[in-house]
Amino acid sequence: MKLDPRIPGGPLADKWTRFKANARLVNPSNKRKYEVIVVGTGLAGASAAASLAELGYRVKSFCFQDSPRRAHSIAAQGGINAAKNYQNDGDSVHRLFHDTIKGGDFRSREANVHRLAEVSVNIIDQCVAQGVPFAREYGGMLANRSFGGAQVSRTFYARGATGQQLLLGAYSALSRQIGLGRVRMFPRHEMLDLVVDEGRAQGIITRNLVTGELKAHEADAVLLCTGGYGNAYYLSTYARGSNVTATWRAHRRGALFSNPCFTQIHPTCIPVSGDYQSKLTLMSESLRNDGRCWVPKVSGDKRSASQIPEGERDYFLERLYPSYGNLAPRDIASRAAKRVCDEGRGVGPSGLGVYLDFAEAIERLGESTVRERYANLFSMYHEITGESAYESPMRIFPAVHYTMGGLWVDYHLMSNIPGLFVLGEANFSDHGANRLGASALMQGLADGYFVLPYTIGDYLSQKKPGGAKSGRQAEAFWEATESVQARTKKLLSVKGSRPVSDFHRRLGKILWDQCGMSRTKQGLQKGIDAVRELRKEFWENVNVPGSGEDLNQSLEKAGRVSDFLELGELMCRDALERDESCGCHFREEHQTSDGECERKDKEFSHVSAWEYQGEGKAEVRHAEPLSFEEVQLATRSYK
Amino acid sequence: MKLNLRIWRQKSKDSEGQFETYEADGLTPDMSFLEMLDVVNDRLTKEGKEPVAFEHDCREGICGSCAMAINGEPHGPNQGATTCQVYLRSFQDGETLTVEPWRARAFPVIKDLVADRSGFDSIIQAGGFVSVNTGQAPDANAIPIGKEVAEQAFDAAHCIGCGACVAACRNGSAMLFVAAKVSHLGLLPQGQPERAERVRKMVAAMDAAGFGNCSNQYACEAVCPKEISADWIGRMNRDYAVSAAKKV
Amino acid sequence: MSTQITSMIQSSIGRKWIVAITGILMIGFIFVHMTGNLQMFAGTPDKINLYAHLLHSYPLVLWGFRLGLIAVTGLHIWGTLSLARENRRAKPVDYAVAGRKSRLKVTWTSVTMVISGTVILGFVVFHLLHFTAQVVDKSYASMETAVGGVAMHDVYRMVIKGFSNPWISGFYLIAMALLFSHLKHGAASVFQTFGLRDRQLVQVIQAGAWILALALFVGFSSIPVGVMLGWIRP
Repeated sequence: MKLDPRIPGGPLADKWTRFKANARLVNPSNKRKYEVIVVGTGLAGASAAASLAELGYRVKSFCFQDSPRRAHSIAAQGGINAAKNYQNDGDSVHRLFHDTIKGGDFRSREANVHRLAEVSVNIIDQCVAQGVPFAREYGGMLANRSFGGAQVSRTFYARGATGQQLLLGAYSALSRQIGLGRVRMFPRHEMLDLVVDEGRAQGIITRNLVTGELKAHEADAVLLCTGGYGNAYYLSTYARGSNVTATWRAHRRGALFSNPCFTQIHPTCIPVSGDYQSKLTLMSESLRNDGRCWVPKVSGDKRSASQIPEGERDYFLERLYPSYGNLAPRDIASRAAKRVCDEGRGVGPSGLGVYLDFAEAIERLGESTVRERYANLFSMYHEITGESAYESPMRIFPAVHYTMGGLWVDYHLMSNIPGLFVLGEANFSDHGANRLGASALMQGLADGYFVLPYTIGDYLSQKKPGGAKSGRQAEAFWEATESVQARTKKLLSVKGSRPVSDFHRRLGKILWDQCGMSRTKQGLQKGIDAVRELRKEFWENVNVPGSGEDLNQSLEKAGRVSDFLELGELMCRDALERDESCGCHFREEHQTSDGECERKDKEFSHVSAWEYQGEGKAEVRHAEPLSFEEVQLATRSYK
Repeated sequence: MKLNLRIWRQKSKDSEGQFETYEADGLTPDMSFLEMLDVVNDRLTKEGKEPVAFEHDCREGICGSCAMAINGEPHGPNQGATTCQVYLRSFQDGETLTVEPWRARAFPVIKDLVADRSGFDSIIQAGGFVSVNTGQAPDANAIPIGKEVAEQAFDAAHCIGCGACVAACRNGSAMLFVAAKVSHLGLLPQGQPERAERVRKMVAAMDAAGFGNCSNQYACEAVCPKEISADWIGRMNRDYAVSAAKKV
Repeated sequence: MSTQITSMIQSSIGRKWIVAITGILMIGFIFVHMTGNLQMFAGTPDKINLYAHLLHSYPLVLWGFRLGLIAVTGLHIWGTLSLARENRRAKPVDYAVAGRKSRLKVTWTSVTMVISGTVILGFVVFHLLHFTAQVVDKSYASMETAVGGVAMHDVYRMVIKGFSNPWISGFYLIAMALLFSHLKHGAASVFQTFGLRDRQLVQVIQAGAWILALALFVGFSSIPVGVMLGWIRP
């Protein structure tokens, strides 16, 4: 299969301008004849649905939560990047582009990333106009903070709840369109299948989570804005409901899945405290602006933090990466933390933790300033651990936080199935093998507000509005509904002895051990076998109580976990086939003498794209080669 | 650690509910309240019973999904915390806890501990926004906004829409929720052009959704996980009068 | 746009404003009423009798005022009762276990506004029948006196006689206690309805409402207490 990314010609910096100038348009009065389905109401989904409705398209928006406002974008804490250069510190579109490409360890598409950096500035304007209360300086201008992987201050923030404020902005824009009747909202609806016919995405099948009713929805285009699949690891910073079902079912219908092994492990999360644990809580990367990471110099040092004198502490990030220090990118910081813990220098009861210490910042800035900057994070930490980070250092450990992989899309954000677009974290496009902090919010909103509204017109203008209404098409909807029904029935009929969560937890452990922060060939092979075995056991022994005709959270979970059980194998396979180290993907076989990633650009400077072959059959790996015109492929160094 | 749970079970919106009692054993104080419910649910599943339906998502206090009253207190005993942020160390070993869904006419129970809060969405749809289309915005620094004002707007905007204010109110009133949004936008220059219309429309939607009225008792403020001030209600009352005066 | 105005007035917040405004007017009235009553302590019956005589010398003004007051009271009752009815409807089921008062910041006075208001209304009706219409004790009507040669109704003697009955004085005192409770919450709430409440001022507003309510309670109660204890003599 040849993957055409449809990147416009011309110099990199002009591509997006040229695209917009040449994109085919839909006449304003014709727009209302087109129906667009948007699945998911996070930053990407809400912003896309609102923007498309503003343009005049008829939009149907779906979310599995009780309200569009609950999508997990809401939990992003730290901030959103934009190349505004308001701080006069030398930022520019080019620098943001370059930082993102380098941060992603040269595994993302140049043209997409450049476009992202270009529209980043519009996002801030749009959000401010909506009333997003970003932090301000005393003079009334917007404030910025620094984030990992950058040497400029370009992150806009709203205390420790930037994601919430941005999402509520997009939600308010969406709500306005719902109120105007231009968007029809379907909360508590889960997409369970994609309908593909005549080689195009024609609609989706949804389940009403309250009544259990399955329904087919037709549309001229389908947008998946359904987030990442990090919950495959069970323990993660994701919301409990976050899932891969929409994208995975689209994958089963032919959409290619790219780079599934690229999963971000965030360095600063609250360590695991027991096996009942359901969730890991992130402590925003912004804390690393003022917090210093350290562990004792010698292994097995069980003294409390305050008893360890300055000279016996190893500020390992500052030592290893002097020019970025505590603001080293996430993959690098996580691995460094793992390494010192592997050496037996980890802190806390489990030994799986490092200190994030604010003593120096409190002394330098005063407690009130530190409180003003991070109060909600400190209180969150206190609620969970019962400890005060003003008095003793926080204990943190890496945790799964984001997935760079996702459905393959071209420059138009369209998958290989015409009419199926994928936005935000659900696609693979912009972050390569590692995402920089504060870039997820940027990408979600860029895709929804400023990219898709342009690219979708180019597609729709070539298509007659409305479905073909042929008997054959009705059959496709019928078939999809049937298959969803069959799967539901199957889940309910196993009636084994173990609850869904049991399988999910075990899957998570396999993936964390074999496909986590560091990976080996043997481990991955073991992982593949283990996932297969677990999947088999799942279908023989899962217990899903209740029926399919009402609100049944066990059934919802079971469906999602069954998809994770398929995806988990693909993640391991992708990691196995990518026989190099890059960004988050650290293969122990490929490391430099000081334990950093060793890329193999000749063989792996490409995007993997997996094609589903049918139940139980091995997927086929395709590749989209990455060519770099503007940046020089170099060993990524933050030293 | 052990707890006795009296949990409200209700099959569907139209069916009658009742309390069922469950014993939860082998707990630890570091467990969160919802993790305890997970454990109970896994046990119920193994026993072939239907687990307790409850809403939850982010489990870090920001999505606003989790919604239940523990011993008659929305979100449980802790000030400034959502249910998911309540840890068992807040309770005594052997204590009996009564767990109920939000109680308000505007939040009908769908199942067990799950209530329908779509009334909130309808209020936002009526006017909780600034009417600006994508692409119409001027440069973000074109309108300076004082630090103080931005901070105040954030305080109001921090509402997570969980509905605890309604759940705690003896009148099932949504005034704190509505006032927080009205104030967030009303404080900022961007919100001025629609200020008078916004408050009128949102209050009309609030009344239509079947919420009660404010009788100034401030239980809403007391249970709000984001500690949103009831002063915003006063501000909304004032805005509303100004809005009416403009009509005259 | 008149329909919009009407619907705004009839909305939840519109009615809150009506309740607050009428509440203030009534507070103003009873404050003046109390000041007038305190002339019972003047040491001579003439003062209050002259005052009452003066009030009755302009029947048009008097009746205008009375009708206005009835309208204000009526609006206050309509506003509160219609809101209260909606409130009860909005909360059809209560929690099986009541939350701690300390957590929910529930105060006794705030949850008994309808009860205290109703009893006060009942009291007002009785009070009017008692001293204004004078139907409770027919002898009041015939109590006459003369000040400076002008014949007038002997209010002073009527009040003393009225409050010599311990049942009546007792009821009066209970009503005044409820008035205290009603105003302690009501007067503070006015600030919220007018949008003048502020976290920094909460203590001040509450203290102010408390002082006002207490002053009215002490002022009104002093008269029956004074009669019963013999401070006010015939």
